[in-house]
Amino acid sequence: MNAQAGSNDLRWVRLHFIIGKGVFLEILRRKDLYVLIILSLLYVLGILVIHLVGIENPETANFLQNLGMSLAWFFAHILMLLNSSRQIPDDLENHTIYPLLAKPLKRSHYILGKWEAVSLSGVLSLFIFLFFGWLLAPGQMGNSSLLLVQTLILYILSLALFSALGLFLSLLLPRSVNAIVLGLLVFLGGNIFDIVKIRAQNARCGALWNWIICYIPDFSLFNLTTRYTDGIGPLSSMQFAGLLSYGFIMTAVVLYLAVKVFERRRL
Amino acid sequence: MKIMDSKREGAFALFLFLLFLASPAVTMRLNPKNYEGGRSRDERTRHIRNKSAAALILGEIRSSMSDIMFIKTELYLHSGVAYKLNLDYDALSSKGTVVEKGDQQDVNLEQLLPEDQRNHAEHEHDHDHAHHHADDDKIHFHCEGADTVIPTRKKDFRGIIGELHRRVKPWQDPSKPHLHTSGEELLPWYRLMTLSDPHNIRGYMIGAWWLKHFKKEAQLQEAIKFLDEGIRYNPDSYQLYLMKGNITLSLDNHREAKALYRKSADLAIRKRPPDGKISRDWTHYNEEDALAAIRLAVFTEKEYGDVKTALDIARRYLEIINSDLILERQIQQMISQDQ
Repeated sequence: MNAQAGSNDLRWVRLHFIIGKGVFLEILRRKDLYVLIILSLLYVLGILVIHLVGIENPETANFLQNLGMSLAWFFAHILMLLNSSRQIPDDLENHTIYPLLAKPLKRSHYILGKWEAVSLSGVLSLFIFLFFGWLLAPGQMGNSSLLLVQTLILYILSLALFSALGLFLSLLLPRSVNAIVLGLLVFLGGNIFDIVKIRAQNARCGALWNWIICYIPDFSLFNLTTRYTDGIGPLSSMQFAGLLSYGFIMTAVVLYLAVKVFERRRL
Repeated sequence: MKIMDSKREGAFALFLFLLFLASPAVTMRLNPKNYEGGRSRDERTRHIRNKSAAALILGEIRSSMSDIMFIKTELYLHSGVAYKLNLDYDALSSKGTVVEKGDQQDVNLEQLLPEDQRNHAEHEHDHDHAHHHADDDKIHFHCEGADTVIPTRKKDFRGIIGELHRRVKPWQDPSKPHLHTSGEELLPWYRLMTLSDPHNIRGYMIGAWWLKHFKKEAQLQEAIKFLDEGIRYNPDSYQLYLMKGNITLSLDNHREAKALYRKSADLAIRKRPPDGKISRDWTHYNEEDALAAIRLAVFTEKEYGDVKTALDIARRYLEIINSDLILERQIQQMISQDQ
């Protein structure tokens, strides 16, 4: 019985590895990553020029660091957006999903495998971009190291949630619409939510509105870049635990919904 | 086995669903972006940063959405002509718009008070942070002084290219008085500015100032609502209380105005350096507003409250700020009245 379970686990890992390999090959085959790396290198070039000219003061160095980290966050999410929104539609269009499902592979495992691979590729690219954008940026003004760790963990959580959402919405929306919705959510979501929350405060059912809005993922909560470069201390353990649980719950719910929708879908 | 699996999955789904339903209870308490201070909000740091070559190369990209909107409103107010002070956060720190010090056309207390009490007003201060003239014309002239982003022929080394730049872009000689268009049309921008960044105090100040410009009760009430929102997000901003006090006074709500000025004065004193020395952290405009709050707190207490209390607070404030001719004169007046 145990031996059978062990071999099942191995097979499961092997199948996930196959899916993951496919996703990585797809990323390397497409040129998105290279384009973003070239853009990052342009930033690095700018930083090098500024280094040559000389950085006048620590405030400017800090500002450049903020810019570098923001670019890393932005590029990693852009790559995720392009990647997650096309995984399933491409597999369906090219019929590459059938050999996978014939392995045999459960549909839930297919979704989970895709999510793992897309998230992992996002995290790897994030670290590449962070290397260019943050490590090569000029010196810091004594920012909190603990907050940096918290920021990086939340970056990763944000990418995991974002890829889950991208996969889920790709089952419901056309590719371009999906990309627009994801883009709006991740890049303007925070501002839009702030506006809605302020408006809701003056509305009759303000509290109810605020409650409902919380069901839409707010990615700006995971972006602590400005807090970090502002020289503010780390988040309290309660706040950080709250953010982690928020990210985990949201990701689990979105993944569960994606699995359920995909299981009911006719191929 | 299958039934067991489906039961377990059902329980998991139910658990997840319940967690999700209850999650806003936690989410609503998450506020990682809500913190006091921070380099990006600090005027001195912003000023140093904005003068660096890197920042100049990046131009408006470095600004927040709210700052970009502010720059757009400034361009509109000056008929498209970009003035250098637009990018000077020191000058923008409290007043909002772009004028040189000599350009302040002070609105005195008389304009805030009812007709019959105007002769009592002896204090002059610029209460409108927008520093726009209190005339009724929708369009007015502004004094000269502020440098334009595109330099004058004398200062421009670019020769014919500079000339072309001046002709193609909206530009006018900064030594001549320039036109100020009406800012009432910009009200939606100030609203958007504060929506995108609720800590943009100058957005609240100028927006409220333009609403006050209508001189109608509905708009004044709207200005108060707008300032209330600003106060909710920036409870330590004495300028917002000062502006609310001014508007409340325009509505003849003396008691509330009195309380607002007191609150503004107390907050200002807490922020003011002990000697009131002008620095990057405490600008000329901060000092002006702080003094205005103090003087108005005393003045309104004297006019609409108790003279004895007014005398007490005037003495207390004077002790803190060391010297202020207007306050000293007020104290003398109250002592002689008492006798």
